[in-house]
Amino acid sequence: MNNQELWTRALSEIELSVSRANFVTWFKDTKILDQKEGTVIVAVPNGFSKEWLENKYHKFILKSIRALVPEVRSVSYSIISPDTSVANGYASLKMKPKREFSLPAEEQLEFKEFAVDPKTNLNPKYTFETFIVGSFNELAHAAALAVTQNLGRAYNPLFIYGGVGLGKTHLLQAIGNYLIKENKNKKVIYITSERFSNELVSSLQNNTANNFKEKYREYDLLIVDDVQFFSGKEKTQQEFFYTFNALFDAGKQVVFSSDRPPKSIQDIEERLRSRMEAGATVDISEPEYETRLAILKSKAAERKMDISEDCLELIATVVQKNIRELEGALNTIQIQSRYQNKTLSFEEIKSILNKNIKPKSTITPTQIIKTIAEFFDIPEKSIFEKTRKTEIVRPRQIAMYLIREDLKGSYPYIGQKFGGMDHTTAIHAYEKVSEELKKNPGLEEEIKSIREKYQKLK
Amino acid sequence: MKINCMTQNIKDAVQVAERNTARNQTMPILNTIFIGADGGKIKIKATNLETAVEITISGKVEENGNIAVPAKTLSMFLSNINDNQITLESKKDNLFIKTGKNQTLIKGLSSEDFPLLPKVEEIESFKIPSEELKASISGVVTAASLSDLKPELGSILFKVFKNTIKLAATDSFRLAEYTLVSKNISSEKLLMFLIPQKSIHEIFKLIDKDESVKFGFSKNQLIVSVNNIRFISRLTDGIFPDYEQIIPKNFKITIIAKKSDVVSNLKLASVFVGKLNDINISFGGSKKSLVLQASNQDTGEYSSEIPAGGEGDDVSVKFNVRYLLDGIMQINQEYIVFNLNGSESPLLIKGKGDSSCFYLIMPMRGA
Repeated sequence: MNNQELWTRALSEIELSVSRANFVTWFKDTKILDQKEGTVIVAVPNGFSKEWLENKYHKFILKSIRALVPEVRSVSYSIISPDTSVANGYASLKMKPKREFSLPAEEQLEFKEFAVDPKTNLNPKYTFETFIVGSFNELAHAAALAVTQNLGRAYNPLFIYGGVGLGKTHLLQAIGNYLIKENKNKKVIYITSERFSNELVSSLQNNTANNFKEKYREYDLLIVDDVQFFSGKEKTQQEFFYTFNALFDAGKQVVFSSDRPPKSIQDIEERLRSRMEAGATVDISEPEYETRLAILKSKAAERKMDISEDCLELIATVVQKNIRELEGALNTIQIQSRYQNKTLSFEEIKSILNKNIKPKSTITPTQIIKTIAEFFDIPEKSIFEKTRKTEIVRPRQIAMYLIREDLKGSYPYIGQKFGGMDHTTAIHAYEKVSEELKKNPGLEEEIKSIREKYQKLK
Repeated sequence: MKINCMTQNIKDAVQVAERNTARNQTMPILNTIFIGADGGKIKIKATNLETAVEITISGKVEENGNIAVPAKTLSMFLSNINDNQITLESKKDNLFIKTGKNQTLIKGLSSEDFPLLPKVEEIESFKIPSEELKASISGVVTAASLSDLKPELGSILFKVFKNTIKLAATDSFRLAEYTLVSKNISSEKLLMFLIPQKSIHEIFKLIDKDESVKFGFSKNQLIVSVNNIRFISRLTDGIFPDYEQIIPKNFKITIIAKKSDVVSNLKLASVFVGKLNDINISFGGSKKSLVLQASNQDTGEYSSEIPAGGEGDDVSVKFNVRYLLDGIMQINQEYIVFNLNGSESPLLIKGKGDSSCFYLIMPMRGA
């Protein structure tokens, strides 16, 4: 006889000997938790039931259980909170809030971090069902699916990289959410590298480093977002390396994301980098027009927005960079339309978009040169000097490369800009940097951060 | 049972007890107050199976015994008694009350059916001075959620570590935290307890002016002792959101203004808010001012400028005026500091020179 059957039959007997009110009050939400070696453990919802059953009904309970299973020698009681859904119904019957409760307006923003499940840090809204697949991300999507089907064996670790707002986090969390949905007992955790680092620091402060270590070694799936922020944090890298090894050796799955491939992450220990590259590395690029449109359609449907196909096409054409911006554009339109209490026309949407989309930044060669001088920590005017010192030549070549690449400056113009140099010098600089870029990921990184710097100027 | 005591003692006790009874149709016993006399002690008890209270009152016990009487009848009767002393005597399930000239019989129930109060095996206990406890509870409770959907958001978090207790509450739109430091607490392990909002309100009422309040926690139960009262409540089962990660560490804009100015202007503005309770605030780091604007299609418009100190860019943000007032009112400092980063990120409010508490609010979209 299984636990449930036994308790149901015992209860039907107990019911006969106690009053209806008592039965409902004291036996609500009780069940048999476990039975072994002649002891039955009964789960009760609260301390009151525990006291009452122990002191008033113990004999009844023991007798009715023994009538069914004679081997039982004793019964004990343990407080287990009933399912929250049940508890809610129970609480709402009795609790009358003091202040009046009204749902806040839709415009009210929330702490969005609270939507996540505190056990796994996963946000349940990120699932494979809501993930839109296009040619720009289909490889990453397929790899993610493969991981869920063959945890720890297919691609371990899986490393997904791509620019901001392209859906890396969505895909990462979808893996976790899928897994928990399939099997509740799987232990999954999603964490950003920054948070991992913060937790480590506070555990060191509070002398709880051991708890920290144990905590991360228990998971079946560890998802680490934005690993590029590990860069430069030695202690964190070291601790993470051990965690990774422990999980990997135990056949547990690890998934990473980053805005760049492992080899381009600066200041990261070689052994950690090689671990990250050991599984599969896939990238997500920028979505093409068709996918952008598909994403907009699904987002608009999700929000029940009244917006014409033309307008969506317009947004998909104007907003090109990433999915987050697409969503932002849709947000702005929705707010405007609610504010004006009407569906916006094509022209109105066009003007909103023009206002809100940042124009391509207009940077001058002087700004680029200035940024480079700061970056390499050399006096700005030294770039223009006719010198062959390496510490000057290299920044100068990079400056020429960037002016050519980003501003489409002509070679003679560049030569002239740098204190009347020959245009062949500019061509040579551009080609040299282009060549080196193919071989040296460190240079790519340097250029990337220089670009970020001057793009921020605008 | 036969007892003799001062009327005021039992009046006070019954009043507290009545708040912990349940109007439960299936179990009339939950709607009663238990009066017991044993070993020279008089005890008054009540429970609704979520919370329970036990009050010991002084008086003379002439005969041991127990009885349970309907709470409402007893409290209504007692509140109209003006005599100094009162004698209560139970005979079977009837309670006979004798005061100066009155003879009263209240029909009771068998005390046999009265629930047994759970034993609380304390894993941690500490005392908090009443003044501080009062300030900390009222400081955070306004941020707790009124909805039953997520029990953890309808509760107050007690986070105990070493010599500090942090109280926190959030409804996911705003968050309040209060830090208490006390030398008589020393918990080596980080402990977190979630106390249901309803119980916190009850504890608040129990706090006496000068007595410190003792808290004892078990895995799923809380026991609070103050004076002659022991209050027991269940704890909420759940995990409070890891809120520390949402508190911004750096701010681009910091504005300091006088609390009385801010409060009075917010109250004026609240007359003219729209149905969303929305108010627009321009934080002017360069202009050294706070500009409040509210408008309502039907009632009119309001705008005012409050002188303020501070630094940072100028930014205009929309808030629910009630959330703002809830938070600012709880800060007992002459000057209020507003910290923020932009129109869609949280606003942190605290008192100037006071790091014991803060209040974090999310703005409304569409500023």
